[in-house]
Amino acid sequence: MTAATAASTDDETRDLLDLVRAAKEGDERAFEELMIATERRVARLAWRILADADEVKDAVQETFIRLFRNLRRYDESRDFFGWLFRIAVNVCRDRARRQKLRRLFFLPLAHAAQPSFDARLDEAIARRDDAALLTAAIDTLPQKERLAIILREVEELPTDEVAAILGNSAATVRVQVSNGRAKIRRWFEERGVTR
Amino acid sequence: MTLPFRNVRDEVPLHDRDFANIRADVMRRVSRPQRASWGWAVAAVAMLVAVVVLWPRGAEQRQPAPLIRASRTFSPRGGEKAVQVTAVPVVKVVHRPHRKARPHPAVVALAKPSVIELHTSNPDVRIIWIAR
Repeated sequence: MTAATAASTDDETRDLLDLVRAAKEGDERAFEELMIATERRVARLAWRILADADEVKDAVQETFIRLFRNLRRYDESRDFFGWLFRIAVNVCRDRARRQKLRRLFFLPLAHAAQPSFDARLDEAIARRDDAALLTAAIDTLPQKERLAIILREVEELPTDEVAAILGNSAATVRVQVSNGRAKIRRWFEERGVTR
Repeated sequence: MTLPFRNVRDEVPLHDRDFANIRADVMRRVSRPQRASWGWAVAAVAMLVAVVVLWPRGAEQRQPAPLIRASRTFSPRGGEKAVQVTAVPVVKVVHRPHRKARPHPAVVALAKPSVIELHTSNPDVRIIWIAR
């Protein structure tokens, strides 16, 4: 990280903290700006967990409603995104559980509505679309490893923060990330994709 | 092999319009409880005022209507004298809960049968009319 990007990140964190403080005081405009500043990261995280655009919309909405209701409890000494992601992960886990149940009953309809995983994968390999391939590889991981990889590698949160979000120890998170990376590499190798 | 995790970051399934809709929904839902709490406060105050205004006053504060007793007297020689109307002094009725209610003496007096005695020209003959 260069000095310029570090300074820019510090400024962003300060701005975010100002918005959080104003929102805590009941400033609705500040809360809206806080949403604008964070909604894409929340949506991305929800998308990685839920893989359904409609579910993502609902999850993002629910996350921000919970954020608003619990904002007074936010401890400013902690990373705001870590705290926000903890809410988002809880919301997404709840929704994923319900989604799983729904799929149990409506599986044929869900398959008819979207192209199969294999078809999308073939397309991604043909295009050599790194992001799509990596996304597909991440999606094959078990949920705990998937979340650890998303939070630690994609969102670049500190290991301690990831551990707090997932309710694990930092050592467990390191193991999950390491296993996840190894599985993703193997996945690429099995499909003859080299970078 | 380096895994391009940062590339995955660009992937967001929603458009600006979706985010705007989500924000509008969130703001509507988080603003509603505040308005509702104001509404509840106003309703609570209105209810309190209504209770204070409509609360039944103590029975002792209400003045009972004066009791009017009329009596007629007849002279032995016949003919009717003027009707005398007398107002019974106002009696305060105090309701005490959890006590066996006893009739007020005035009520007891009223409950006694009325006696009308008619004197005839014969001093040995009197007509006594007892009515409840």
